[in-house]
Amino acid sequence: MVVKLELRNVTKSYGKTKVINDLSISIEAGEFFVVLGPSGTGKSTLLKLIVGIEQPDSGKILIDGKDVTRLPPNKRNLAMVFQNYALYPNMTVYQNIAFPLKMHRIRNIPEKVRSIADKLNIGEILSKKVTQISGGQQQRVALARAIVRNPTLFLLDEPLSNLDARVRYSARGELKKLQQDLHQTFVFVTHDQKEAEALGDRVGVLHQGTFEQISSYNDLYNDPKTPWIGDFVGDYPMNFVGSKGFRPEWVELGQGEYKLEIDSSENVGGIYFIHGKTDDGESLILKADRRYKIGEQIRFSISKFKQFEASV
Amino acid sequence: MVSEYKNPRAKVAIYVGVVFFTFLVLLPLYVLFIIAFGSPSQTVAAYYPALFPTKFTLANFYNAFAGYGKILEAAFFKSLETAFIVAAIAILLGFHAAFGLSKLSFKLGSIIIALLFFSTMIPSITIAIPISATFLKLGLYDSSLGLAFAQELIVLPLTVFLIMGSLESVPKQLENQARVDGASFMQALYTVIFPLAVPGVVSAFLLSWLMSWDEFTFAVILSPVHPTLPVLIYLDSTARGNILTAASFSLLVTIPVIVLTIILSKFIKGNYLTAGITG
Amino acid sequence: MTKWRDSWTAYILILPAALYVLILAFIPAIEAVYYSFTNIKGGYTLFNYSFVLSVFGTRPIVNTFIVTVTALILQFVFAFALASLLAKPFKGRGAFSAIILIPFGVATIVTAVIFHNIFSTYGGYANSFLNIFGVKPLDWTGSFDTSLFALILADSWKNTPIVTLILLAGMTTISPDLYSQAMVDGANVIQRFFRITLPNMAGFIAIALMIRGISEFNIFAMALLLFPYQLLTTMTYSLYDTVNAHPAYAGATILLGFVLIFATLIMFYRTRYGVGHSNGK
Repeated sequence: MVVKLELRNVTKSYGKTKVINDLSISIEAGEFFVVLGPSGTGKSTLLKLIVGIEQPDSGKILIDGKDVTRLPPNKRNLAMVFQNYALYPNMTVYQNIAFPLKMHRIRNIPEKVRSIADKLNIGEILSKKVTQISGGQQQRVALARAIVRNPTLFLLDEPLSNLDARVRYSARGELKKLQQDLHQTFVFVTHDQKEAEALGDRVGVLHQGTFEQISSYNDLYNDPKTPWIGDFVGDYPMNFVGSKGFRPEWVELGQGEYKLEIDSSENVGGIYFIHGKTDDGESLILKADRRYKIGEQIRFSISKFKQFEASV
Repeated sequence: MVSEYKNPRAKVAIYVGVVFFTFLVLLPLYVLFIIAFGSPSQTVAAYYPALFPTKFTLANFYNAFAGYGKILEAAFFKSLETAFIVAAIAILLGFHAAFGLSKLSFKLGSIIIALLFFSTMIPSITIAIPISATFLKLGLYDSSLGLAFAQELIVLPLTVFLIMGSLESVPKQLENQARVDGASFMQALYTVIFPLAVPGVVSAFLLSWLMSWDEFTFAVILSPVHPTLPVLIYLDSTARGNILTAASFSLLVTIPVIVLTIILSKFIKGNYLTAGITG
Repeated sequence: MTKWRDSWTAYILILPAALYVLILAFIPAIEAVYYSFTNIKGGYTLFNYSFVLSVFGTRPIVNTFIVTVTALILQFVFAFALASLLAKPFKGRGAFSAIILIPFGVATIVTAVIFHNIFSTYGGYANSFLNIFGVKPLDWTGSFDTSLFALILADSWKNTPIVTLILLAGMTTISPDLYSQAMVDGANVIQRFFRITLPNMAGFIAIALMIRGISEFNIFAMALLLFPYQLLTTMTYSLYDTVNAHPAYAGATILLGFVLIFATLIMFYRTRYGVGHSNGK
């Protein structure tokens, strides 16, 4: 395995707030690495550090084994897609895609732009202004601009979050396919767990400026290392009874040692989730196959659980 | 204060105000117009000049050009040349300084902004007198270039503030994107930021041009032998006592500038002028 | 800023403009102050000042003060009225705001020429107008009060637009909710103006006062044509002489001193009353 990007003990503060705190990671060549975290956990700062817009207070950043910590963005040979795509509004689609080629003095610009545009199905709109095209097209233009000059590493900052739901779903699939075709390394930042699940070879969960867990999404869900991960990952947070953590579907309803008083039931596509409290006052969410009345009491047993060292 | 006037009495008051101020603004221009085009017998030669003259003529213009055509031409080109030098230097220095200032920490930026603002407080006469001695030595006295250098002082701080205001509207993200796409600091400035700041730059250019075209104090002290248009008009109406010539020239100077002002009115906003000074 | 290379580039970009202002504005101003205390042979003396005072007395100082204060009052009254008009949308507002901006573009000297023709004693349009009502012609330039009137009217015609723009920018930053609340609380138009508009605009008023006040101290071209009494500027200009500029340096220094005192007072007003309200950005 070849290490493409490595961060060693990187720390970055704004004023007194440590946004990135002693963070270390190594990302392998060809990997689709997802950085997942709630908003305000330093995801964007992390990307800015990697790309060189910001510089760390301490620590090292290595790309292809070379220390780039003090290099400006234009010397790092990376590509980045920002959340709002940051298309140059004064330029046409063609000029946007050609821009990085021009800056790197690469030859055969028209051929290269044309072939990338065809690959991403935007060949028809090359002469349009970027302000005149749809959100989905803008996202493709931003991608085209990123991949056109074969950078060593791709950074993507929530590139799908500005798309409406349907386009987002298909764009997600295309993005994964694109990465596999290119055999390139992607670092993808998102707060959306579905994206992390669908895209990431590995997912790093960012919490308080450092990775709390790095693993496949499945492991994040089934084998969280900390109660915080259990709470954060999943459509519904992990339930906790004492130091036992369990997912809503890891129970059998009807009989068992625990008792739940129902507060409400919700229907999600034919599956029911029931919210309620135990005798000890713990709020739980359990998966069920029917609706229950408010105030109704049911018994349940935990069929599978994760033992944490201390309770939350 | 966004909702429209709904009360009919308030509406009447608004339009009374509008008519009153429109009248105040246009009245002096009307006076200039009738002196320039009116027959002298109904204007400057009359004890009570006619408020609504009936006889019009182009003779004032003919006489002005016949008598002072060469001088007018020289003054016109001097003003034109000076104004273009002033505006060009203002954009060249002002745009770069504004961008540089947007990169500095707030504290350091404020110090330099204060320095620029403070320079606008120094009276032109206070600067002009020592400068005239220096310019005499350097051979810049009475030259367009020398005059432009002095007038630049009035224009440059304002240009910096104006362009800083327009740079604020350029998303930071685009600059970052340009850097990631391989542009150096300066390439990002010229290829991405400058094109987006063009409206602000153009209005700063026109405003600088306008202020130089209008400038009198430096012009009268630093370039008295080969005067600019404002100084020529001054000399005509006082030293030479030639009011009709002064009025004709005034009208010629004013018409293009009024057109320019109306074009500029979209760009000249109070908060641009105050950007960098407040907050 | 650890991106030291970029931040050095930023300094280098600022340097020409900063140096320009330092060399062409600050150094000459310091020169003027220094030379005002020397004689033509280079010795230190207060003679220049006693000479200026003995020739002109304190009238130029008093006159400059009177012109500044009256012109500022007139411009602010007009500008407040205009800004209040323009603060709300009405049919024709765009055209009206373009019209009231016109004087901003008319050259100062042209304005002076026009008002010189309006207020000349013989063949002036003001007298022609008064004649309709049977009023005898006035010798406008003959008395201090009437020539002051002509001067500040001309100056206000030219400069009210810029004050209006700044005040309008300030007015648009005030939340309409404040006015609604005040109306509910029973404040009338005048109370609303003094309790809401004025205090919330302190920062903008200070800027307009600063920009215009300093210009009023420096009023020159208009005064040459319209005001036969001495101001600090016209006094300094009349002292100006390329052979012996030392008395003129004293005039220039007195002018500079008064501008700086004025600016300090405005700064004081702004920090005292403007904090928390001034957000021009």
